[in-house]
Amino acid sequence: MDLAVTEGEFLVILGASGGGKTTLLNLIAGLLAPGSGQILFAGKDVTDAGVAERNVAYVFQDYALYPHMTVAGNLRFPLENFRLPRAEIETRVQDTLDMLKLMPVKDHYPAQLSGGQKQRVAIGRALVRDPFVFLFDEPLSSLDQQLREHLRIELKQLHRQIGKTFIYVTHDQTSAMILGDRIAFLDDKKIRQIAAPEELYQKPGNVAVAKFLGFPSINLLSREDFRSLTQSEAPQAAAQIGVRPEHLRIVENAGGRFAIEWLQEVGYARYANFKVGGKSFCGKCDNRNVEAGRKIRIDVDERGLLFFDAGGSRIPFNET
Amino acid sequence: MKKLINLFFVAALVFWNLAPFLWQWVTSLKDPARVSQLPPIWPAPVDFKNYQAVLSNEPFMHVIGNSLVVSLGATLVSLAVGSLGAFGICRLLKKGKEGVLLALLVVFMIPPVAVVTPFFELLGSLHLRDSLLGLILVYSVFTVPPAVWVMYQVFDELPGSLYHAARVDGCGHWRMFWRIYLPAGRTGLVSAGLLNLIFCWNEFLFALTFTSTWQARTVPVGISLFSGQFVYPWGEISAAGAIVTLPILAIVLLGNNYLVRGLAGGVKG
Repeated sequence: MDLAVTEGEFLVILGASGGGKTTLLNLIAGLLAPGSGQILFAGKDVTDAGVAERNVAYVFQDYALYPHMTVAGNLRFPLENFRLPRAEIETRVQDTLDMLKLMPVKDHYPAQLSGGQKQRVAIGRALVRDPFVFLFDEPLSSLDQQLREHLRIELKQLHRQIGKTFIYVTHDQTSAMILGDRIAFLDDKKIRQIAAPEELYQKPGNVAVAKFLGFPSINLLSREDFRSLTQSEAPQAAAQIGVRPEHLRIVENAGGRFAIEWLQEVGYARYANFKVGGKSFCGKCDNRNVEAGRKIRIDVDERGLLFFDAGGSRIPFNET
Repeated sequence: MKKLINLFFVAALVFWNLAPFLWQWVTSLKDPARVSQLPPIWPAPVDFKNYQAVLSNEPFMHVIGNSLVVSLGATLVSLAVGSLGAFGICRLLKKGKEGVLLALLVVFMIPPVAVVTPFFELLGSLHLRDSLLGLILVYSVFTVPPAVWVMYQVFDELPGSLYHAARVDGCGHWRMFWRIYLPAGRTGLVSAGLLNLIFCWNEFLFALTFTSTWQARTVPVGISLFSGQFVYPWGEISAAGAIVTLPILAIVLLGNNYLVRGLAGGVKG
């Protein structure tokens, strides 16, 4: 694969579990050696360089804080390894503790810290070294929703503050969309598409990308199903047509051809599933009062139609 | 009703296990003349003559010193070698981990009796018969495997990300062992240390076979050779036994948690 990361950007590597994301991160870090190919840091070939030489910072999924050292100790350790003068070590540690608001807990041990504090210590350990690039391996995946949201924002702000390159690996599309300046979608060990979040969402280059992003998942229709749903045109080469639920408006209609099978209530919207040609598809309800079993008609928003050829690649059609 | 039955069995078990010790302690507090008296009732007045005799018995005090040196020595060797070996097997050995651990286990399970003769010859050619160093050497053969096993369990439980995090932080292997793995696994050191200490302290066969004078004799042998002029001085033997069992008792009471962890194999946290 070919991946070029812009300096200072927040790049998210998104993909399903087992797709090779962590492997890619480990290759960048130097924890794994590639069979073939090159890895360049600002033009310099580091393919044969060891982990320590590459000067990368790595935040692990479980943070991997040193359990027998205090917070300050954890921050000091990498600097001691690189043999910096004592005074400079102390200054850097103090500055990092200050920046991440960890002064109150600097003599605490990891076991005594909260999830958010642990993440900040893990980041602090990375920051203190002034590395070339920050690597993150799904550090938020084991946290509950609220904490995850809070830390996501902190992470984004931190990136803005420091201005260094962040490479963040995750399988969570929400985090990817919120955090990334660009998202690289990894599927079956290949990069399918790299683009800004909106572009990935609205103009997915590939069925895999389209299916991964969006909640509820995109509807994939065959040509016949598409015909029975709407009169719109479809390009000759299109084998599948993708429509996101928010582009299928469900309106209650006594004379409608479809009926609601079951509902998905998410608090700020109601989605409903209905059958077309024996298959179940999802649309967004116009009126929150619809119930299962009611007859409906479907209004298709043509701007949201995505056409994919037999190979899964998207065919641009009627684009503005 | 069930509770009473349970209580009875527990009491019976406790009595069965403690009775010999209690008898011994009671005996040690008796006037030497009345020692053989049955049933072993609490003496009145309590007499410390036996303890005085034992404590002023210089050769015996020397023997206790020997035991301390040998036990601590063999234990320290086992911890040093064991933790280094365990780190190597755990993190540096890519293939064949099970093989090495199994081999160590086999060595550990060799019946001491089977190797008494070869070791005797070996110590002779090394001129280490009747010496503390010789005993430490022989004990090390049997204390290193459990130390490796315990420390391997401890090291293995540390998450792999900890290793990678330290590597990213610029840690070489020695530093990794010294600053990260050993401190994180120090409870394992205590567990293995206690187990080995107790083993060495109580070891009888090698101590008896490889020592010939009071120079190098250890406590178990020392006690067995207590003899009076005409009769066995049961009072003094009991006192000696009590004195010698006391450190082990203290260790077990204080280090109970660590011992259980070491035996159960694996320390968390």
